[in-house]
Amino acid sequence: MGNQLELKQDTVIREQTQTRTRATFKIRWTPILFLLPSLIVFFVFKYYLIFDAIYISLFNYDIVNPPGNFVGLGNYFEFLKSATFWVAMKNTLIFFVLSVLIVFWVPIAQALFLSQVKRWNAFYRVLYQIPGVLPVVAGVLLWKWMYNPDRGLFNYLLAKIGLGPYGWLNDLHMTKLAIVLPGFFTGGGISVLLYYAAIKSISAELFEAAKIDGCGPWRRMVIIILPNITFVILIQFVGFMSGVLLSFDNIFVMTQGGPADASLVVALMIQRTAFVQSRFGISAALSFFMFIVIAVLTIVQFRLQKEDD
Amino acid sequence: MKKHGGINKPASVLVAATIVAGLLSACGSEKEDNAAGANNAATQTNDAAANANAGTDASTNAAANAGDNAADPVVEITVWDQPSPDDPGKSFIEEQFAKFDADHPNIKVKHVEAWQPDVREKFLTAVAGGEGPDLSSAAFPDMQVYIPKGIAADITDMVNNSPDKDRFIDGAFNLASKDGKIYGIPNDMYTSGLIYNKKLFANAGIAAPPKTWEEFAADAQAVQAKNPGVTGFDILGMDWADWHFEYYVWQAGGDLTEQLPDGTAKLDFTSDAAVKALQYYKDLKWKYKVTQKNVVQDIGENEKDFYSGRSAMIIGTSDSFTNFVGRGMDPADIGFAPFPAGPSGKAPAQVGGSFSMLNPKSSPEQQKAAFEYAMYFMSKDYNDALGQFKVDNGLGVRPFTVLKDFDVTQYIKDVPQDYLDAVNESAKDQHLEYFLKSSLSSYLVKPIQKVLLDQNADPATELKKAQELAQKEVIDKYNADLKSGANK
Amino acid sequence: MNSRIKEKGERKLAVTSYIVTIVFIVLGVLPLVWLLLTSLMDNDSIDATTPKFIPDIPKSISITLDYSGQPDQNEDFYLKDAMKATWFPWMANIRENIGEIKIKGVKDGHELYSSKTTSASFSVGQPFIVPTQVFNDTVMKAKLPRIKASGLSDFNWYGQGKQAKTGDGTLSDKPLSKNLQTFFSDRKLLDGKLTSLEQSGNWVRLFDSYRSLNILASEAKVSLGFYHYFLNSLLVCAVVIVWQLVFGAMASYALSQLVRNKKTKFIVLMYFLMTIMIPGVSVLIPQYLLMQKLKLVDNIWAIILPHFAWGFVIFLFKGFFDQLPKELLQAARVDGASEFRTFVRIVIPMSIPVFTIVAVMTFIPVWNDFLWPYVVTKSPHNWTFTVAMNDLQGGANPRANWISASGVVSMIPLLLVFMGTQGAIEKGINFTGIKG
Repeated sequence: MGNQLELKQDTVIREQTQTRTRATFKIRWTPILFLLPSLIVFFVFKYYLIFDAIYISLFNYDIVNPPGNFVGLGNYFEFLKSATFWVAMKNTLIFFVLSVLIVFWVPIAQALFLSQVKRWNAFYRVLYQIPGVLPVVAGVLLWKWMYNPDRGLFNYLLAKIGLGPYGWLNDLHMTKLAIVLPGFFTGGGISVLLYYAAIKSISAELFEAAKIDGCGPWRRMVIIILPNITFVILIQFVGFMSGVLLSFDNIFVMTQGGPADASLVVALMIQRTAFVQSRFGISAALSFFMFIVIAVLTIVQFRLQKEDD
Repeated sequence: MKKHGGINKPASVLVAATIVAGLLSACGSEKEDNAAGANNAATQTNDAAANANAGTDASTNAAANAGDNAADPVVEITVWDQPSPDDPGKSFIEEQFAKFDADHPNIKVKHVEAWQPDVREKFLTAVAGGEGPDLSSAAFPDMQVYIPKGIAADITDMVNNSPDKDRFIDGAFNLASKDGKIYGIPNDMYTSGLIYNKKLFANAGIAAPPKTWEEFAADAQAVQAKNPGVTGFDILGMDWADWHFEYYVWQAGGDLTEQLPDGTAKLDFTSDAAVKALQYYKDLKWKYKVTQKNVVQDIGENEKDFYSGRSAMIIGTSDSFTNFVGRGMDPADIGFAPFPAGPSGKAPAQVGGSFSMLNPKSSPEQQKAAFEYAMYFMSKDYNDALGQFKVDNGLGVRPFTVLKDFDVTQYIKDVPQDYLDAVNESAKDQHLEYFLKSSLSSYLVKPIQKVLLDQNADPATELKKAQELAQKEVIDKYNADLKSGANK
Repeated sequence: MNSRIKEKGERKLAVTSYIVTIVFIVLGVLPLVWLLLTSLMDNDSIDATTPKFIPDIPKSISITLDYSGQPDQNEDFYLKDAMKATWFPWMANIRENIGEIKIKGVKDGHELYSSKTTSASFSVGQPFIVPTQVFNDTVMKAKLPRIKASGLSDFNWYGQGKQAKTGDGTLSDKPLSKNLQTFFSDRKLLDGKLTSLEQSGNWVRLFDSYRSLNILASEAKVSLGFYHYFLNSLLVCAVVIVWQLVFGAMASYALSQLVRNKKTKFIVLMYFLMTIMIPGVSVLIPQYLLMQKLKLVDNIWAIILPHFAWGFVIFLFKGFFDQLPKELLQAARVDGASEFRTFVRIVIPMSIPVFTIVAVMTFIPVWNDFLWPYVVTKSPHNWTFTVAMNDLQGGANPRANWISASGVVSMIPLLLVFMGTQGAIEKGINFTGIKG
């Protein structure tokens, strides 16, 4: 760190002297000096680490006497052949679908309706932020209490309206739903503000024009607002996707991947192979695989979006 | 932007606690009450081949070490044994640290806090980074993992040359031995059994704990009927589920795995005994309906249910008494009993405990110092002083010791005699945990959870599926490694 | 949408909007209300088979012990008696929702001492003061130094200085009081004679789980109690935010305005953005090994440094800088200002909203980060509050209400941040890349 700070000061000083004395070179040097600190930290704390992980993935990694036996792509073949991996892939996909169905649209809907609310709008916007400030895992713990089938709040309340009792995390068919559901309650947090700002920046003329065309207020929401915020939705979706595909903390605290692997996802498998089974090589191979999957998906989405433009 | 990117993951309060739960898929933890399953002494012989290299390194170190002399300059060692701030024995332990320092001016001990419940992940990361402590302790099942991985140093010569060796009870070193080499110094031991709430039993008019599977189910039902809101038996269905399940397999007359004469492993998940045991698990949940509904809660929550009187029976260890009394349970209510016998008519208890282990990467001088330090805490004087301190401070004393010359019974003042009798009774027939548990645990948990959660799941089918998967992913590889190792 | 002509569906839409908004907010806030309530409950109420919603008022027990007619003793003798009368019966009735036990010692018309122990102190001290149910004189004697050192029970010694009534003989017949009286009469532990035992409720003790957090942390670990962990977290957040605002902004600005070559621009942008896709769990071990090489294990810098590389910040900044009016920058350049000067004098003042949003967006994940700080720190001195919270629930003495309380406390800083910056955030959003 110290080095980087010095480097930075150095940079500034050099940059200043240079611009004064050798103005002709400024275009060549300034961007580099501006970029340098970030380039370095990204290299050290991202690329070096992922390369290290790739390196580890090529070995039957021995933590005591690293790196152990070289196995080439053996680790990759091994996990691809493992039934558990495909269970994890399937679960990851189901989680993804469930999250889109249950969680992703929530902030969009919240923002859409919020944009129609005139009185105390700012107050509601603040209230929307509150559920999001609870640390994720504290929230998960809270939900775990509420799901408890012996004495949890949920079955108690649902029984009052004649529903249940449900097994929640004790029901193999409900586990995934129970893990995703808190996201619906928590809502969008900052995303709401984002969508809201996007909606507010749609020009009033568009609405007026639609109105003159005889569009009712409900229809306007669909045909004016939604198309105009698709870019925001896409950007959000990209982040959401990698978030869901890599989600770890909430599942881990809720079920540790159980029961009977019903909620085992790839990120958990990465952790499990490393810290439970001490198979660091396979774990690293899995991580790199996930990195590639998400990178490809992201690039594809941006391509699609570009074609749309 | 709740879910931007995967980098700065919103983190968790509890991740760590649970990480440890799964860390080595074993059950031991630093907490006494959670200390868990033992491993099979014989098993370690087999893990050897795969990691032959590590083993050799360790033994070279140790050999160099044995010839060393004490007239050295100050040796600094790091030991993960700093007690937690709320440890009732903190003052005593620190006093003993000081005493050791005074007696051993040439050994400088750095005590590191290692009382966090999930210290194992830190331990492994530290080892991975070459910063493992010179001395640390590990539960039986952990030893099974650490020895073949080369994390525990070979201390055969040090042990054999130590005058203290014969002070340990017979066979105490077996569980930390492999191929005739010793890797750990025994610390403590416990035995498992059925713990029941006498008051809840009395309410149901039951005088004695159940002796058979049938009685167990009937008693649980009776207790539930007479004590509204109480669960008959808290079953363990979370990630250590195989730990308690193996007892039932033993009771049904079998085991989950076996080691063939040539050293290779064979899975017995589909054996008659295993299927019967799982069927019984299924019946407890679905036929007799005597378990808690939340079968995916962890052992801590099961214990909480028991000590707060919400469940009448639980599987525990000889050390559980102190734990439950410390959580406010009336000592008179806590009963210990040998497990109910299954179809085989037998009900062996499981033996568990922990070892101290040295770091193979430490210098010979450090290993020597660490060994001396570890032995200091196994001395008779130390243990007597500790026993007295515990008595004076109203702390519980564990009813077992690994030392011959330390009479633990003179310090057990507050544990009811019938509890001790039952513990001793239970300890007459002891079993070690199933062979290769650390690698197979996660495969077994799945069928157990399946039958506990799905009324239509068939035990035999689920076990067969688990066996096939484990065979393919673990056993085939293990046996192949073993054979190729043998050919070397 | 400011039309004067009322449309048919408009009112319906407005009403629906209010309802939907309020329903969503209620759904979001209800679990938090439950969290808040559980932080005020005792642990047995939280686990009650039929959920309870209203916390019980903790019970306050006042005991008078009379030493009249006994020989004079020194202060420690009475302290021991008071502690026996406090900690032992409390342990024996640990499932009761006791909020405090107050003891008054009187002798021949004088008040000798008064002592008070709150449930915050009891729950922190229980694991080492009364870890089992062995209640006798020797045990308490052994515990006295620890009680004194940690100040868990308030004890005021008056000697002969204070006039007081002896107990008026009121012995409450509420169930808990009855239990306590039986405890005292059966065990015969006390030197003083129990002359009164009164039971009332004290709602102040509802908040003791919050006080426990602080006592717990200050007990032996760090001087400032739980605040120490908050300060650590804040320090980490502050340094990371400063870095991002300075170097993240510089890099993004360079990327947006200074790099002319399209190909270079794309490559560098991807260099930054690709990193968003690296799973955090997967670099845990390499990251630890790296910190070891840098000799930073168990150092707060080890928590800080990895946060410096966060592609999302570049993405946010770049989206904003891309929209800067080119003419303005061009004008500055023509005037002969250096790029650095342009950046500082012209760009930064225009960028306050985006700076705010970057600061907030950085704050949230850094504040919540757990796994890495947990792995890389060893001594409590370097813990962030998430690590401390984990210790709370994973330690030898986990209590549901402490966990709830720490959850509530952990929300406060973020809440303040949001309230303080909402306006700026909303302004900022309009300019950043996220909005498009």
